[in-house]
Amino acid sequence: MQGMEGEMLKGHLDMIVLAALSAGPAHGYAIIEHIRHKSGEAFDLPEGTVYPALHRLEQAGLLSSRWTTAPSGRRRRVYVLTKRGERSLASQSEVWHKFATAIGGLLAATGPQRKPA
Amino acid sequence: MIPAYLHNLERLLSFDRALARRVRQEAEVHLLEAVAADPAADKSEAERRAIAGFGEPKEIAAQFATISLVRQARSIAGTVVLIVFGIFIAMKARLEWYAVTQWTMPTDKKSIADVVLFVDRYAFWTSVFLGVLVYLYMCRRELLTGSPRSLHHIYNLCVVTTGALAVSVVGDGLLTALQLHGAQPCSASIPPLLSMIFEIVGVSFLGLRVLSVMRRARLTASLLGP
Repeated sequence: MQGMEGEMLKGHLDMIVLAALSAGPAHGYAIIEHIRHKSGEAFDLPEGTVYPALHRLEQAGLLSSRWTTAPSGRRRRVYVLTKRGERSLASQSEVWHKFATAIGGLLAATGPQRKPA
Repeated sequence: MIPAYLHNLERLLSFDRALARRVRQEAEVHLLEAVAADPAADKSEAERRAIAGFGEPKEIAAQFATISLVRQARSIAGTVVLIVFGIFIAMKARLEWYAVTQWTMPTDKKSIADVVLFVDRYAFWTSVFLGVLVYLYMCRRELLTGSPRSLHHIYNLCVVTTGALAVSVVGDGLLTALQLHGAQPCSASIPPLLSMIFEIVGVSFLGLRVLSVMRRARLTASLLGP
């Protein structure tokens, strides 16, 4: 995503990552795929930017992580939402819904703009 | 292609070796999975796409740099609080020992000891006050976002606290030397000496930690830009 949409996405990246992990423990690649799939391919962020967000959320105690070995034998770092992370997601989600409802109402009242003749 | 990319990313993160190792491992797993999932028959094309999708190493390293600085700031702030508290305990224990053993300062050294004690006391309480400020800063939520201003304040406070604490420890050393000077070596002088060793080791450790964090902060500044 570029420009304004990219900035909007970055601003909500923590909530997006927390939401992706609410489905269950996952490693970085799976989290990114989950975000891409669930957003209908709309959120196609530079994949490398998700890892700093994961580290930051872990540092804040909202996630925990551990190394596991996949059936393929490949070692992966799996992230899990902590109780604190669940609470933070619930709170951010509530704020987001209120905000989205308010903006939706505002835009609905505006209606389509007409071009001057 | 992937090893070169990973090497570059690890090199950019070399200010924090543990972080660099972990990020390299995670990025490697990610890129290999991305290549495996790519339907392209040409492996090098799949690798190129995986790397392009992952992003610029410098941009990723800059984001990790901020996280690393926040962690180091919290760690150094915690160390400052612990060392100040530890030195306070060592100082109190030494004074208690002098009281229990009824070991008083020789009268001919009383006047110089009073001056040293005055400086020592003010330096120590300054470090306690600054230590509390460091702790309060550490608890602020803004620190979690890596605001450069907050980090700058933490580092400066840690440097001044360490300086004040070093003056206090030097004062303690002088007072202990005045107290023990001329006394016959005996087992009663071991606890004051041990408490002084503890103080010196503590303040030296803190000084080295602060210097190390400042050096890392300077290294990461180039990644974060102006």
